[in-house]
Amino acid sequence: MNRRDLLKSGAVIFAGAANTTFQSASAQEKSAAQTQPSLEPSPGASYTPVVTLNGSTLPWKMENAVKAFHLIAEPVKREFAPGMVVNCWGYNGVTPGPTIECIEGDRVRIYVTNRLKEHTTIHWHGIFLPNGMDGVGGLNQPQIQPEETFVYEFTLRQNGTFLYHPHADEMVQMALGMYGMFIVHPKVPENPRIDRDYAFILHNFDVKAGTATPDPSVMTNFNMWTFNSRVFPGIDPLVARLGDRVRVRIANLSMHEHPIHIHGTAFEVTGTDAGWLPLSARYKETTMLVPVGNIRVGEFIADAPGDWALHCHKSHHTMNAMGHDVPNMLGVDQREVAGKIQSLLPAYMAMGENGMAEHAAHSAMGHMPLPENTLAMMTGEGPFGPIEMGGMFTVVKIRENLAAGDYSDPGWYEHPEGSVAWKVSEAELKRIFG
Amino acid sequence: MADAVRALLRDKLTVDEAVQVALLNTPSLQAVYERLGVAQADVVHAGLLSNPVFSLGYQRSTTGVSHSKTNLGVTQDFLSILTLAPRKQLAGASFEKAKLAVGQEILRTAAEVKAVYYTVVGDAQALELFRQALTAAQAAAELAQRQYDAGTLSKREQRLQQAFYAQTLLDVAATELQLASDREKLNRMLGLWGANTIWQVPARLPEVPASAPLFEKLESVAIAERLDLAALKRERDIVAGSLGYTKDYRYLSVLGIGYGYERDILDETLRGPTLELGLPLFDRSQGNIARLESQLRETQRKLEALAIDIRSEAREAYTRVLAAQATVEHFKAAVLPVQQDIVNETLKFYNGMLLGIYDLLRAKQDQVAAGRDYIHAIKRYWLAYVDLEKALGGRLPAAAVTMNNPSEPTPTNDPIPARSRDEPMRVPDSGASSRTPQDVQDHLSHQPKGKQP
Repeated sequence: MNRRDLLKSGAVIFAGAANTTFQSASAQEKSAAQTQPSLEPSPGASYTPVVTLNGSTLPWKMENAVKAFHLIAEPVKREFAPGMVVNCWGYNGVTPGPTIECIEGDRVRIYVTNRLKEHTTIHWHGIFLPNGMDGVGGLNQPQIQPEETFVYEFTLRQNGTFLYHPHADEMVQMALGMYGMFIVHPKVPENPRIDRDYAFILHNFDVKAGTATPDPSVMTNFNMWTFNSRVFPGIDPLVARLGDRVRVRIANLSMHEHPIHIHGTAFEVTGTDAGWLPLSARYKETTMLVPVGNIRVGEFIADAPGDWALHCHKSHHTMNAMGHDVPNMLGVDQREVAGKIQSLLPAYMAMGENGMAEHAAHSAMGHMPLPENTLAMMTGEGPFGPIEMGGMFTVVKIRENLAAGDYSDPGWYEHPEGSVAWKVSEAELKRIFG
Repeated sequence: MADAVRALLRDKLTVDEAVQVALLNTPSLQAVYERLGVAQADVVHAGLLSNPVFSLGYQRSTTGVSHSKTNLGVTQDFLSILTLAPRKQLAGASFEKAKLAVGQEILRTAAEVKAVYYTVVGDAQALELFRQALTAAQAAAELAQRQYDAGTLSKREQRLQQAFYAQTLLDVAATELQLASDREKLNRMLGLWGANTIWQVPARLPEVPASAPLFEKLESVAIAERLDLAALKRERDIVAGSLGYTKDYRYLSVLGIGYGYERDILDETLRGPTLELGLPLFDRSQGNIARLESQLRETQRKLEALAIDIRSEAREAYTRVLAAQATVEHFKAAVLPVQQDIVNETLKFYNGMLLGIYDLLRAKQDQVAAGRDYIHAIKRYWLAYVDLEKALGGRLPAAAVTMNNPSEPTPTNDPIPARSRDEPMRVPDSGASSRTPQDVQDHLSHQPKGKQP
């Protein structure tokens, strides 16, 4: 082939270089990412069913006296927040997988079908069961090959908050989003009664800007921090009626500990993945630390109406993807140079001199296009202005007049007159302080 | 003449105008034209008869008797009269050969002028783009300084940016120097000095056609058009003519007819015609004939060798043009769009605060580098085009003209427009050439159209 033909054949590749298709979430995927209603307790049982934030509960079939569940391990597409859809692996079309909810004493039979292209298993984190049901591939069972279905069967002899996740090619499969909650209610109704029972799993992904698939070889340097595979502004609010006893069950499958902070009230730490703390051992804090591989249950009385932030207190966990090697422009006067750069790049805007808020404002207004499938680092609109958050951030909305089983978003809080911080003039300031 | 040159130089100088200025103005080329003047004298000389020889003798007796003999004779080398016509023809052929050699020199000069012209335009166009890279490097250096002032960059990092800017300044200065040098080269080729050196060229090289030019029978065109081949053919014809002439007259070496007058000692006058005749006993011009035959063979071989070279040059030059066109196409279809995408996508990453301003400026500099390579590729196309013209004898066949973009300047301004295309293998007589020496002089001094001052 002479040089001309060589160049011409190359031209075909360049002419046809289309973009990879970043689809926005389908309607079904969008609805699956919203908090689904909980399942009614079975007849005779008396518990407040758990609500899985941005997720659902797995229905069961009674097979004689056994509760039969069907989990399908498969690739899924998950919208982390509008504008970003990620190629994950999960269960039954979603990540997190649907919550398994039972009562202590139930005998459960879980059918696990593998629709991945590699083998898998499921480990039941925290549950005491026969060794062969523990789910560590190679150790306790042969792995479930693609297209095979295995059955796990055991009797629940605990109550509390547990987790399920793969234990075959574990790092990759967990990095891609395979996990779900496993809640076991006590046989005897709880006292005091829990009015609202929320559950979510903390996780981390590395979805590099402009891509759509998490990078499983990342050890600690993640960029997307999620509650139940969602990021702010995509995480649903925790809604409660004034006076409700609210329980929040938080599992941590990520590679970092997370100090989960609540505004306006404080957690009483009541449980782990090994059971409930005795009353005298319970302690209070506004920031409940959830270590790696741990589950923490915190409870509070919703005694203050309003929109209360609930978030990880590591500030970089409340940002969406950030660049870490960008030059520090704080205090740098870029005005004169900006003109020069604009002569080369008309769409350029100088940023960073006085912090990063103006970046959030520009991208919210749509001035600055971002790479494909990438969320703005700080975003979200509140009733008073931009919230400038991302990642592990959501809101506890406590309202006075809310129906008992109403978990829908009540909108923004309407503040009573005089209870919002107000602006004063320079003159006013001088008048008081001279 | 000076007015004509000034008129050509007034607006942006096109490639054809540059060639015209060179043909009108360059002292070295004027010297070449003088060769035609010298050859013309040869023709005149050959047309003259050889000068008669005047002999005078005085003889005196040595025996005492007063006896003197005076002879006076006028002999005419009548050979020269008989051979006048062939000699005149051969001298005419020599003039034709000189004319073709001069023509070849003109074409060579025109091609050189065009090459330097395109180099100047290309270098100037690339330099303008290079200045954008300089702006980017300057912006980066300024930002680094301001970052250092605000305490967000170490002195080391700031110096690194400054070093890059300093180096870029050097590179731009070197490019400017190269451009100045190329401009001077063109000034020399065009014979310009003083106020005439401030000419401007268009800001951009002409567009390269979107599809490769298609020529058929390139080799035949080259063989028909190349002046150096035609000149060598003339030389062969001259040798053949000499050979024929020598063969025809080999039995005549000396032929002298004259009148003699003698007055002897007895005071008697003797008068009468004289006749000299050389007898071709020994020398029948065998040596000359053999020499000329060998020379003829040598010239014929040279002709064949030149023809082979010309065919190969034509093929090679055409291949280079095609390759250059494909390279430019590749830049337009693949390299430049990809570089633009990289800049656009990098800006998006900058917007997301995922990459910094230095990464963005570097992407711009990479784009500028690709842009400069593109301009040099266009320049190389036009240089290859000029070489193809030269290889084909100064003008591309008509087929090429229709393939070109109509808005593009047609590169076919023939420096010798009315050049005749003599048939090969025919011994030319002086009437066959349609151009007299006077025609050549007239052309070389004619005013270019539309540029009256």
